[in-house]
Amino acid sequence: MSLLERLYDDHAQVMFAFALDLTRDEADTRDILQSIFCRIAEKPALLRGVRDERAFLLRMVYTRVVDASRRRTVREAHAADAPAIFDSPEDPDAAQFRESLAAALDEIPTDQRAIVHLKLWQGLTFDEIARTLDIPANTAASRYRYGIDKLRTLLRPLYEEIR
Amino acid sequence: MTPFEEKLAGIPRREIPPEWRGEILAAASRTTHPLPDRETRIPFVPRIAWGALAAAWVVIAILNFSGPRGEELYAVTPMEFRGPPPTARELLAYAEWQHRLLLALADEPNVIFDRRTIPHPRNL
Repeated sequence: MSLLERLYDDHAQVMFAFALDLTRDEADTRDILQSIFCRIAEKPALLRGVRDERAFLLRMVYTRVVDASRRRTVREAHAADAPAIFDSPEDPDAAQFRESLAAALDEIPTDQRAIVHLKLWQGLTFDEIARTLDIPANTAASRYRYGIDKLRTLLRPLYEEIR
Repeated sequence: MTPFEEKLAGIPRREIPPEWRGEILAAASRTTHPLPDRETRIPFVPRIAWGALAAAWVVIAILNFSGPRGEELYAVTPMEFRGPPPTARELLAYAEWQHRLLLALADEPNVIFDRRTIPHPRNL
């Protein structure tokens, strides 16, 4: 198994979830993943000395998302044709909650959403998030609080109902 | 983690489309071993152009050094192409005009410079 195959099998799912959460666009997500793997294929030395491959790759994803959003002069509205970011459950209540959660996540700023994603769905600590995104740990913690408070406010009626 | 955060964290994320693996790794592999497609052939085109340019310069140099040069060229050029040489008066007028031009360019006061009076000595 080559280096790229191993990296893909170990980390592509996590990179996909992170990129899709931030871009809300499947084509953009695919472009970002492909550009990262092409970059590593072009220059494998990038990984030399990297202690945490996953953090390194997630940072590459984040950098590319930020660059792509800067290039866009007008933010495209993805709400109507946004791809599903969660598994589709059979239970209609759970499905409705997941849809509302996806919509609520779209409401919070990208920097907060990135931290909420890394904390909740990747299980990173604030120190790990800080290293991944190259920000102070206190900033990561405060952005997480802002993001989770906004989600709680947006989802409270539905959450109370299905709890 | 609060119960709310735990509930969110427990929601499974969508799986990456399985067909992406082959497509992305193939694209990355092409980056590692680029095929000799049109893009990679383009750098060879200037090599041909440089070769043609060098050949043209060699031909020009051969023609230049093989024919008459200097006084020899003047001697073999027919009179109708050469014209008569300038007279001493014409050369003097031209030198004075150049002197006035230089003074005018140097903003020298009291210099009247009329562009319309440019002398045209023959064969200068």
